[in-house]
Amino acid sequence: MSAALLLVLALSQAAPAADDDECVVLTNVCILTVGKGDIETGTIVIHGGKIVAVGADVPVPAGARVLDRKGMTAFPGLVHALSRLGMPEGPPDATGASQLALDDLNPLSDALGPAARCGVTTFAIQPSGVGIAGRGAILKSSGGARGPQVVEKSAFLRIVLQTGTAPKDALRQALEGARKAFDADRKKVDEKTLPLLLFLKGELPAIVEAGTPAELLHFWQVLDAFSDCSPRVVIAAPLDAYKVAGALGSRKSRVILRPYLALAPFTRERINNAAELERAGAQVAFAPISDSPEGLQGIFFRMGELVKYGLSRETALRGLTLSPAEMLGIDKRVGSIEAGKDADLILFSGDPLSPQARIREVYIDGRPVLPGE
Amino acid sequence: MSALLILSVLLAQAAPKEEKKPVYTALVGGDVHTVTQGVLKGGTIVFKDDKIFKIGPAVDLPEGTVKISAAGKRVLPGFIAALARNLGTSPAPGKIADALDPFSESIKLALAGGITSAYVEPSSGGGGVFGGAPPPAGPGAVIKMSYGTLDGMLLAEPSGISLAAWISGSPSERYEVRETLTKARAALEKEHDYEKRRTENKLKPDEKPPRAGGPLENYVKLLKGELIARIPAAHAEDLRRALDLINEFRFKAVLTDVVEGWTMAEEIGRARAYCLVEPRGKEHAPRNSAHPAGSSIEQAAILRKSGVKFALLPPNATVGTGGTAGRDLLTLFLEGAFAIRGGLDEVTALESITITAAEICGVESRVGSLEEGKDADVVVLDGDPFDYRTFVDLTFVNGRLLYEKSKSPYYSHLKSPR
Repeated sequence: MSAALLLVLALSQAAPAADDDECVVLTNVCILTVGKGDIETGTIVIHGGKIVAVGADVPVPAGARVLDRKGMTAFPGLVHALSRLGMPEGPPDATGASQLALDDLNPLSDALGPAARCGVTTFAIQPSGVGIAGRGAILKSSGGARGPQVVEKSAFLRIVLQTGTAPKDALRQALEGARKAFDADRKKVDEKTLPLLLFLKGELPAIVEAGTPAELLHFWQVLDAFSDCSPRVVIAAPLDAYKVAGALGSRKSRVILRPYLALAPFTRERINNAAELERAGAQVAFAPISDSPEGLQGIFFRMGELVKYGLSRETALRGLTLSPAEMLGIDKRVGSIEAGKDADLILFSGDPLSPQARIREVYIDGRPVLPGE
Repeated sequence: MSALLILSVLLAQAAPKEEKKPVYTALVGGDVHTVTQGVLKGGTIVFKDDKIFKIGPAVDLPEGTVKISAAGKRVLPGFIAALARNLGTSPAPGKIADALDPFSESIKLALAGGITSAYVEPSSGGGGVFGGAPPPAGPGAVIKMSYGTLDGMLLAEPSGISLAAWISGSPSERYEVRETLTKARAALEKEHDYEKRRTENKLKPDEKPPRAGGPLENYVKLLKGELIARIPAAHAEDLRRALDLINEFRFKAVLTDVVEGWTMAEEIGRARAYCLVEPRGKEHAPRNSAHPAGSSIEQAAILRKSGVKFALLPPNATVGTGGTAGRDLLTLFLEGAFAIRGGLDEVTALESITITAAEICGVESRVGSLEEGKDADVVVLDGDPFDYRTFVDLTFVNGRLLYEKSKSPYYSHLKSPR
């Protein structure tokens, strides 16, 4: 493991770009802050990789480099909660809560760079495997060819549900083991149990991937025995999750969807999975349908389609940025255009959901990755 | 879309379980065919939550009862498929409880056929629509067609155990079956001996009750009558072989795939074995057969005369929208019509897809007839169940209305031909 990790850490600590201390100001830009409403014409002040100020009437600091971006729309960089970029194909040699996706990651993979140029700036990298697969990492592109920067090496647990007695029992037993450690308030917990213990305590979220709505019902049968704990579950839901919309809503579940329109069984009648879940009261976020450039960039049009078919525009835009950031517990750093957050921005030539709009510029930590330095 | 809406309303009703007021539903004015207690013309049946609360000519309805008119219709217990393949479960090894799929489209179809419960077997992989089904990987279970929820979906597991090896196995496999049963009988005797000495206070200090574990456990349950054996026995020689084993060990058994049962109905009756019968099954007798052989449309009627109880099955015990229509569980109740063609009375025909099928699955205390206290699994038909023009109008499982013909994507466009 550690060689790769050290390398990644070393790379991420590499010297920042020369102009990091420079103050950059985007003016005359339409700002969709996501967290704090829309600003028709405003200013974004960037310094030291962070957003320093945002607003309609923000003074331009002296000595700042002013970029007039009239006619453009600023949008937060996307948070991709279900990415496998830079991860090897094929099954892993081992799985379990102790495994780290980062140890499998190709440290020299430049996949995040091109992805960032599609507007996706933060990646939750999923470990391989099924069942309790391991722990995922949060990465950001570092801009050039310096490999990714690690935001969090152990950010979430990944659980891939499977149908059947054996996988259900295995999950139950693992959680029971963790609860025993929790109840005993044990100081020393082995490496396989600790992540599950943190999960039950609510300190480590779990992304739970379900292939069918029935798998979710079986998962809840297991999880509800631990309702005395406070596990934080994020559900990567299947295309027909609308069948459990009622339960997802009453549980106020956090759900990550792929932006597809479903079809009612044996018909060509479209069902907007996302809109059904939104209506039921679930919190929804969206992940690209694939890690390919088409999948990443295509997400904007797909989201537009979901809005046309009944999803609220607000949920759609939030679901690409702030909602997944909140689900992953990284909303203090990314997910919206707010003072204090990382300067991860996309500048569109128009409305992000419009097929007519084009991505003109992308910034990560205030550094332009598109069109490039 | 409206089906979806109703579904989500139903799910919402089912979701939270706080101090809930009971939900009363009444089917009013229909002819109530109770199966076990005759027919009540123009009667009322009331559900309280998931159970049948009252049945009578005129029932005082509790306040807030949801009233549904069944005037001119027939109200019957939901039909029970004594065997179903690929219904309501995902293919997964292990217990059926953990493989239940309450969102399976096959459940919606089964509901459209008036089926509310079915006996299913764990998949062992393989087998298809045209291939023969492989022997089940473990004991079977009885599940309900409770679309959308796992609550109340599993009715009984384990319910049945396959002794297919006794018929189709090699001599050594057959030997294995008899050996296991012999050991189970010995284990059962030990249990009885323990019980006897316990009641007489003659136990040794610290003596623990004997327990048969491992593969023996289910066989002990079989001899205790807690499980029902399923033995595929199509032809006379298979039937004879199966009856020999049943008579030797005296357990409750269901003979499945029965074709030549009509040639030895009395022997089957004496062994008190149940049968699964396909009234439409066709098989010619071998040319030089020295004894009566082959299928007979009169099989069900002949078995009835000898007091043999049976359940009816269609040629293909699946549900689906593919293949030839009218040959699967979607039209289970029409199998009764074919049995009637062979001389069976209507009462027994109805029993064979309700209460007797429930007995064969070991769940007759819960389902299979309309009686106060039993599960509210009910179908409303727009005509005689054995008339070819009859449709299922409504299907209730555990008191929840889960099928309405008028809203079904499969049937709403079809008008009743009468």
